[in-house]
Amino acid sequence: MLRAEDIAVAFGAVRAVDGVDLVVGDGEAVGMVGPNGSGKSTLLNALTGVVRASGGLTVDGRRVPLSRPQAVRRAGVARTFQTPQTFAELTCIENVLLADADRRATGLAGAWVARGPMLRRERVRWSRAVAALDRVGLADRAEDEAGLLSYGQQRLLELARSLVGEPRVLLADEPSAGLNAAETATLGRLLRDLHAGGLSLLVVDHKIDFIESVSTRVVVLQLGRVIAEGPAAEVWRNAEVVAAYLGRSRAGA
Amino acid sequence: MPGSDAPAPPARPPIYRRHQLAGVAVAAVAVGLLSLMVDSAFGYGLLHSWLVFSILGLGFYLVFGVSGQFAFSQGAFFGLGAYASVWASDGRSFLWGLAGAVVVTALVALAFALVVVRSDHFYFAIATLAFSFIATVVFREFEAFTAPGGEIVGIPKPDLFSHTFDTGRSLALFLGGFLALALLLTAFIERSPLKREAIAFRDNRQVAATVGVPVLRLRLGMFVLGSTYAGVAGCLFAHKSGFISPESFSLELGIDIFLILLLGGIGSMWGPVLGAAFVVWAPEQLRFVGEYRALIYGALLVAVIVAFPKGLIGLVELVWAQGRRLRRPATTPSGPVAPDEPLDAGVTAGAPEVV
Repeated sequence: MLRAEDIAVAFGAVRAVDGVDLVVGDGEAVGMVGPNGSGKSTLLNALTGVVRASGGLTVDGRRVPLSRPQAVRRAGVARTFQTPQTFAELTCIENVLLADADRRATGLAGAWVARGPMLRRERVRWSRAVAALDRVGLADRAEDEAGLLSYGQQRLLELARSLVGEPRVLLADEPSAGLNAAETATLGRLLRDLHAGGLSLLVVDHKIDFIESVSTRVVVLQLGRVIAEGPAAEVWRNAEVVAAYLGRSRAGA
Repeated sequence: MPGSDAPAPPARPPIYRRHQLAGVAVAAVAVGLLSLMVDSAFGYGLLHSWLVFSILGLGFYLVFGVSGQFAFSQGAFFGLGAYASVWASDGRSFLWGLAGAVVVTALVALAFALVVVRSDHFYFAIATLAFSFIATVVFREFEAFTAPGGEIVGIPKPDLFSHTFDTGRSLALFLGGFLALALLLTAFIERSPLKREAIAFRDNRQVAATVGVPVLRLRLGMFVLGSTYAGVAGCLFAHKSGFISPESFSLELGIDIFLILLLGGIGSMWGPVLGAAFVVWAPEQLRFVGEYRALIYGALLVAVIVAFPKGLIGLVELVWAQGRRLRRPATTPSGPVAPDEPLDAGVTAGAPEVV
């Protein structure tokens, strides 16, 4: 379970995230929506240690320091980015291998001295990476450079990379952005499969039907604050949510 | 489930299948043959310089090529290794000098890297530039460590187990052994998880950290490692030349180091070996043009960079690929695309560019 308390991020005088409390329960799939600039991506950046933030984060009851990307990752929180962030010069499988949770014999000692153990561990890591690539349907591209993949495939590669570390929680930042309808459907199916397999999800997206198809609870962010949360159908009727997206009528409804 | 009927993935991790080890053996044999063929003191001088500058360039390949740290300090660490080795081997065997060069350059590089740990990109570059200016002053003024004016003459030729490498040929083989060792150690890095993590760090350190790559350790480790290669090269330089002065390690050397890597090819460990050959050999071949030498050399550099944007190694790879195509005319495309795979179908055109 991921529990974030009073998360705040300030860029100068702008409070991009302004005291957000958020819980993603075990095996829960939470959708997050909000107008552009409402702080969704910044919140994910705060939770994964990419930007400086204040507040508290616990994963499975253990406190995780903010602003420490590796610590967050080790605690079992993986993420994908709004624009797929793959390493173009590395092959697909190398991209996935980067994220393996077993970090033994990855340093200079493994390269120079303990080459035997390094290669043995590498073989295990490698089979896990192949399995992760297979899961998203990219096993046959394992040794192609990531830069050769299409945009949609890079999203899948990123997903495979976040799966290989055996995360407890996956934070997906606009996974459907830039995908066509068929690609979005495939991705939705994949996320539902992962959720059914026990992975907790926090999915940020703009496509309402996509959010509804992959989540059981929706959180709405506006100006860095949570303004509504609950089952999707209820949330869409919330007056504040409607106002956030469409604006308030001058007569005051 | 997609991918269940995908072609069987290759049976071995990719790092098993790179051919650098064979390359190192070929390079060692080539150096051996060259040292037999050369028949003049002048030729040996060029050969020795090429071997030493290749090691220096290999170190810079690790710092700049692999891990993307824009450092002007490589020449300073070269000098530091030279002075440290003379200081540590004074009246003793060459091995003391080598150990001194390794220890001193590694410690100084680590201390420097820790001091500038918050400086990135251009700020890091400026800090390394300042470091090399300071180093030049230290070489000249810190007489307890160096000598009056930083000029040291009469440095003995390297010796190993009471054998002194004082002929052109034996010195070439000795230096060639060091280059082979440096190539082997670099090839081991190429064939290890360290390489992919360093590239991830180089290309996007934030994403690398999010994925779990230990970016701080990589940053310090690769810098110290590459700088230590420079220290070893400096030690060899001092003992093969017999003479060092602060001018040997001026900014001109720093420019040569960049040229070695960029001309040779920044994307391959063989790049600096080719680049060092060019930087050592080409200016000598242009002696016949007399006073126009610098002009012609400059034009030649521009021509090489324009013609081979991937460096001289790009030319080698091109020839290699052509040879392969002649042997095996049938080309296999990489992995057929399954028709029932919707994600392969539509490459999104106007994809957003920013995170």
